[in-house]
Amino acid sequence: MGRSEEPTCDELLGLVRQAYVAGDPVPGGLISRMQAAAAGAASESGLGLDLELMLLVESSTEALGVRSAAPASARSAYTLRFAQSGVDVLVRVASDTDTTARLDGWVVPGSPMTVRAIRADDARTPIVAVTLGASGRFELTSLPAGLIRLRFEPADGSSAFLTPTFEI
Amino acid sequence: MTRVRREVGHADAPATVWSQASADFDRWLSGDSAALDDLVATMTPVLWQIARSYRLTQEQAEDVVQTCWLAFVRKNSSILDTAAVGAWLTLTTRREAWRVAKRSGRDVPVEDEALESRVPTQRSAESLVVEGDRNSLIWAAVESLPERCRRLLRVVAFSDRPDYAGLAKELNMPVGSIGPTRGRCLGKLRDSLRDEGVS
Repeated sequence: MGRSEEPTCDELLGLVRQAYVAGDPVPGGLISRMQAAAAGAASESGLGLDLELMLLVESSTEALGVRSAAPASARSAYTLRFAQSGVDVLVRVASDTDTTARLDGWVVPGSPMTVRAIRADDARTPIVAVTLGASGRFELTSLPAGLIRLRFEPADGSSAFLTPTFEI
Repeated sequence: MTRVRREVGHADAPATVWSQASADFDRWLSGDSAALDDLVATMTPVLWQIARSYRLTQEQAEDVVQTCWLAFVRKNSSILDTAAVGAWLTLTTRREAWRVAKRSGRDVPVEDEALESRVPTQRSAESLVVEGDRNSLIWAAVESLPERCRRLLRVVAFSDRPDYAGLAKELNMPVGSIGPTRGRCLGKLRDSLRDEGVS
């Protein structure tokens, strides 16, 4: 902080943090105990360890619309089917705008769950997520082009499913 | 043995800690099971500070932090925006800490200045020797604040934009007075640091 200036609010809050971190520090071993508790709970509920990897069982390309000046990639769509342990996921990927894609999906059997689109490349763009109900239908829009994976997390706490990487 | 990882220091600004937490959470969701350890290491020191601002004992605070992590493992699917994981963990810890504090009759901060002299500060003696004189002056200045100020500033200091409505309920104050109170408390701290020649 400036020598002759009053400390700002942020600087004061920084000092408050510094004081408490030094004056009332985390007890020794607390972090390890919390890591053990979290890891134990995660393996009990099948999270983390028992992530089910889905297999790509089918893929097909469809040509859309009439011929135009637009690049083929902007007019084509494709369908992917993933499966694992009795769960089937059908995904249709189509161009949304020139640079983004939309994804329409259908999970069978449908049940309440969270669906996340995860960037599979190094780009740290935010992960998009939606919840879906018993219909099993979901849509993700305005996804930036690139490599993604889909992660399905059933609301009942059973194992999550992760698809292989695919391009949108 | 815990992996040593100090990309984020305990006293870093909440926004920095939360963005690290969000990156850890993203990695965990992508199937890296070790990232859960990283997330716990990133956020536990902050959650500890939050829990302790509710006048909980060390044991109570540790239980609160653990309850928060178990809730996180069970309910993380409800955190759709992974950037919000820091906020989610902080809020869950605050709710649980407040619940425990209420149960043990520690919920409403006392304004009584006379109580201040009875608040033990010696718990910090050991670390203060190590940290040196400046930190002990800062600590003394913070500890000299009224209790309501200490709780408010501690929660605010370790949270990125905490919700004022929740704070108001916990501190038994009208929501409109949280902002002004925060300003007054920071003013008192500024004065007392100046008196001690820290700033």
